Amino acid sequence: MAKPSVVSGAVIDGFAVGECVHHGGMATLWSVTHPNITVPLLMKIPRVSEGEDPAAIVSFEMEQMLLPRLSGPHVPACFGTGDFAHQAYVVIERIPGKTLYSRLEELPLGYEEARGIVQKIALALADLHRQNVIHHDIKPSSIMFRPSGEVVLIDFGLSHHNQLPDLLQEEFRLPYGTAPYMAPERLLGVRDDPRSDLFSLGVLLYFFTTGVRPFGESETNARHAAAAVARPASPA
Amino acid sequence: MLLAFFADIHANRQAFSACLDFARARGAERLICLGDYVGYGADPEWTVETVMGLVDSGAMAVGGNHDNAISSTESMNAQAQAAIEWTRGRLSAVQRGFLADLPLTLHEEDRFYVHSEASYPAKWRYVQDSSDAARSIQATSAQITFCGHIHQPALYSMSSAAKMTSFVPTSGVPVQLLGGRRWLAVVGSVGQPRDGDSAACFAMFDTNSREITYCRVPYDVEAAAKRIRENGLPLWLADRLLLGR
Repeated sequence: MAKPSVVSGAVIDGFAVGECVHHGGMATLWSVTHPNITVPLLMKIPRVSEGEDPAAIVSFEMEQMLLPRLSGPHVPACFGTGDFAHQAYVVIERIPGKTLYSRLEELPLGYEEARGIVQKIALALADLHRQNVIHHDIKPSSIMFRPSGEVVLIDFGLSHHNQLPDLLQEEFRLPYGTAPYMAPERLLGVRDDPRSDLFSLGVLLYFFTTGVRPFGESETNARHAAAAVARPASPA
Repeated sequence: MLLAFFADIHANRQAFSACLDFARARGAERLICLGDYVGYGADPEWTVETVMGLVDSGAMAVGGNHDNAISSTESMNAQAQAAIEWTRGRLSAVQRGFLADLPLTLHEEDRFYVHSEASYPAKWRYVQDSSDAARSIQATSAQITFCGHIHQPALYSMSSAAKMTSFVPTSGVPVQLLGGRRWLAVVGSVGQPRDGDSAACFAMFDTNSREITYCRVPYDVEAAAKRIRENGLPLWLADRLLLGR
């Protein structure tokens, strides 16, 4: 595991760094505080040391560019960003609770409950698309809930903004994302169609109501491509 | 500091006036002119005089191929050549001298300014795609290069892994030029846009927020076209202003 580039107790642009709360493949998450901000905060720091996946840098850059532009209840509020020239970070509102991934062991859910969850995600996606952004990694671990019940979408590292440069456009030969949820057009390199998110949402609905993913569990794009043209079994 | 970049003005008084007014109204503190002040349009004396005045007041200016053609024998396509020969007779010796003495490149802080592209400025190559942009970016140590020449706005970036992105900017939407990559901003044309939009085009860059904003400014296109026709310049040079081609 790469050594984190910050340590607990450091102060970065006025943000006091607390404990490390998550070590992910792309980034580490730290609890931080700021004297002028009362809401709980997280600092996300990309893993950029030698040998790390270059996707970590590019997906961080996308978040650095997108998060300050987004607003509303369905995204975490952004309170600051730092550049690679000094210390790369984004500071966002810390959403309490767990992601929807924590419900996987309860699957299949009853239809009404699953429908209610998906309806809330659809509302969040509509708000995101209205802000010219396609998420491109809709899956249970990208979805959280506010105490009021509204969905909050997280992890915008693979996202596309219709009015900003798409940094992932030419960076990788193969589409980046989560294969079982990825829309077929993504395999062709299409990144500007909001319906790609709705495809992923459909996969999630099928999964949550049946307990199995409609196009299988394959994590490879090639196998997923073959599965995506097949017709899934009816959930009924 | 808020910078404003103007390229390919091409003796279009109406378009340049509108862009200068627009930039000043939005607080531009420093003006950078990226070449091709003359050629095609019918107001070269006013345009060169205006750029000379801006430079006297602290603006920066590099030369373009049409400016260079005033004092050289380099040949251009027939319509451009006709406009250059007409322009040559309109400019004073002082104005011709100003154009002849313009540098091809300038740089300040982490920014590089050139009319065409940075790898061989005197060859007047166009930046038409990502590979052209990569060649220019790799020819300098600057984080951001600003250029014109192709009359179509574009924004290219090179990642730390030397992968390129290309992007057609949306007017009025700021884009942060992230510090982890290098950028080439083609700022579009003030006086003869060729991307299907007849509105004048220029760009503003905020050195604090590191955001670039491409601006489209509607202007009196018909008046600029009328001036071209009145002065006996090739009619297509008037028509293309109306079409943005």
